[in-house]
Amino acid sequence: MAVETVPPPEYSGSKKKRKKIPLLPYLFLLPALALFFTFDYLPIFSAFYYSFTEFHVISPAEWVGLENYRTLLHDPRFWTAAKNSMTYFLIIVPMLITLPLFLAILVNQKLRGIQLFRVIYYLPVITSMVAVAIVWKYLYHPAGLLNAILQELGLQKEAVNWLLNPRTSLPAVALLEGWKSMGFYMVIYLAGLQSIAQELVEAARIDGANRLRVLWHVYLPQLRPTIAVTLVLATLGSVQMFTSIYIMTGGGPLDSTLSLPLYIYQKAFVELDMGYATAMGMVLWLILMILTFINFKLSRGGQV
Amino acid sequence: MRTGKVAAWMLILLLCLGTVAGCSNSAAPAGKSGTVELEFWTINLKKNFSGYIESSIQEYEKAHPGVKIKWVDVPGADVTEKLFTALSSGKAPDVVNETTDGMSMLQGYNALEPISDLVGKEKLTPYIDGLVKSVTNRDGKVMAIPWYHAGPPIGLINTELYKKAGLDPDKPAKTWDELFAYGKQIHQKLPNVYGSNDLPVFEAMVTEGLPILSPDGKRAVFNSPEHVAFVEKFVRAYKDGAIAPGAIVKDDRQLQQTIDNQLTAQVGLAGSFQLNNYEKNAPGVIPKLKVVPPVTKTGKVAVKDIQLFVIPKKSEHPKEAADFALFMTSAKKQLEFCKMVPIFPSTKATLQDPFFTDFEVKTIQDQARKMMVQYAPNMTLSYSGVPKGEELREFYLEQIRAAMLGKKSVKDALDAAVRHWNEALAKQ
Repeated sequence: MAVETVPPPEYSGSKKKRKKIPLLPYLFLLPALALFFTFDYLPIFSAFYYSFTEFHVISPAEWVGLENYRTLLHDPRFWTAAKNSMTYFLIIVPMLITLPLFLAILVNQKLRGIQLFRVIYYLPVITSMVAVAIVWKYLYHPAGLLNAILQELGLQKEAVNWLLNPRTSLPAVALLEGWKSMGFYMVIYLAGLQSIAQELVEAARIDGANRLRVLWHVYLPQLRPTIAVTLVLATLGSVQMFTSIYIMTGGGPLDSTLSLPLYIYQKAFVELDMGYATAMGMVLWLILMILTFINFKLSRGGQV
Repeated sequence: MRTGKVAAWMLILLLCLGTVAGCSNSAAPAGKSGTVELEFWTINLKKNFSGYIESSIQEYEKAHPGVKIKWVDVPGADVTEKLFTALSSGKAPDVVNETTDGMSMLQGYNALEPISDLVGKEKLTPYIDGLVKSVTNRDGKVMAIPWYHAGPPIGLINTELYKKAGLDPDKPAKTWDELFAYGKQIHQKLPNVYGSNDLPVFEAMVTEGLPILSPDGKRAVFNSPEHVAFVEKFVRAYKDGAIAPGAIVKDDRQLQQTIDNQLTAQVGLAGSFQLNNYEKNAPGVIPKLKVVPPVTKTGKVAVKDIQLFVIPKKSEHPKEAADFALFMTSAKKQLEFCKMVPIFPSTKATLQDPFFTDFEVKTIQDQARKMMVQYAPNMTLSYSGVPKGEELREFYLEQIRAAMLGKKSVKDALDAAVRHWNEALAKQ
């Protein structure tokens, strides 16, 4: 008795049929696409439109053309916020690009109990920023731990009010943000370090390279894609700084820690000046795009 | 191939439209024929006072068979944002519990129905005059019905620190000059301790008889030589340690030196509700504290915010809504509420009840209540009816902080604040 065989589907059709775009993947993508469109793209396009309007939620938006952008040019608080965001960026990004690399090299050693150190360094990342900010506020208190240590060491005579001095408040918040994010970038670097072929390191050692030369000529070039990622992430995170400032200083003293996102929040949700807030949001978006582009170019697109 | 692609895109479109349609507002359900349904919003009362609110609603519905109340409790302090969203979606609540700042903001967008137009001014005579005046707009229309509040400010001193500084706890400061002289002495005798955290807030200006707005409410006037001299006292006090260094924080919940951590020894204008926090978080300080009269030259005291009821213009049943708000704020209902929680009423008759006039003083909270009852009839709001009240107040305080830190002269700081206020008032 002859046995009927069914050819596999890919061989059964004509050349034309093989080009058929399957429907099923689109069906699976549909819910995500719809949600993405509704909750991401639609608000982005709306925000762009509202940035050209005077809009206070309660009454219909009124088209004002470039008025919000003109106001923004003459708003001293906007420029203070932009300057603060830029200062913060200049403090935090170098900190988050360099220090976690050394931490990663440290915890990449094959030592007993090294996992524990990795966990310890990562713990701040998974701790709530609100809780961390409240604890650090106590550390920075004139009668807090930081002042006590510095006075004990003889590094300062009088207690410094770190968060209430316009000169120290921004670096103080930046230090907290850097400390909290350090573990996150360390893990990214660690993954990068562990993907580097040990043969390269050994070859460099045999050729007489010391640790610094190995770092400079082997690790860093190989880590270029990782550095590109950390650079972009650190940049985006720094320009969007909000929670720590909202909790610790509220933007004060004298607007010395007012960041662009905090100012946008105040305009949008305290004053309900949505048109102006979205115009500032658009400028913030543009700044982020420019910084990301510069980062991408500087890191040569992450090419090794 | 093409059919499949088109079908896929149509499905995507359908789902997108479905999602967006899901976000749109649906038509409000119509009430039963002849029945008026009122949507009633409160701020954060469900957790602790649902019994009181629900029984009040039942009582009202029983007396008004044609009215049904739908109670919505809005959590936290975001009632204004939620109300704005509701109003823009076209589905407005009828009776809304608001704060003075929220009322000012809504009034700025012409979103409120004047209460005096709905019920007549005579129905508002049972309320404390100063409070009704505070919610009356430039055209003489009463825009809200005052409800409860935390009570007038009190003064507080730490008797132990007072004695250590060589001061007599039985002779507390009556004026700001005295308060700052005592504060200076405290800081000189006890270097780690400061006087107080008092700032020249608008409530303090009212105690001194200094006006915030012109009589017609159209201009800010707090940069006169008298105002400058008043604020300069605070700047000097800040330098002397009579005011604590941490007093310039943006959020007063983040003050560094406080009466409960015993790094300050007095408060010129304190909120009595803080006593409950001290009892919970710093019980050791309670026996050392003494309630004293608030610092005031005129006998007047002011608060920056009280709880109110407003009727949105978009309400479909404003008259019924106003009637229900009058019921909820009646002397009888407020007395019931005050017996449940340490709050103060907006009605004069409630304050004359033995609950407020005849009680045994056992605790520090009782001392505070006795003091507040004495000052409540003279209570007012520092100002109201100013658009973006919160932003304007913060702008003023930021100028004050700059003056306290020596970055600006008091005159320049007050001039800048008045300029900013007048720009905002001119737009109204």
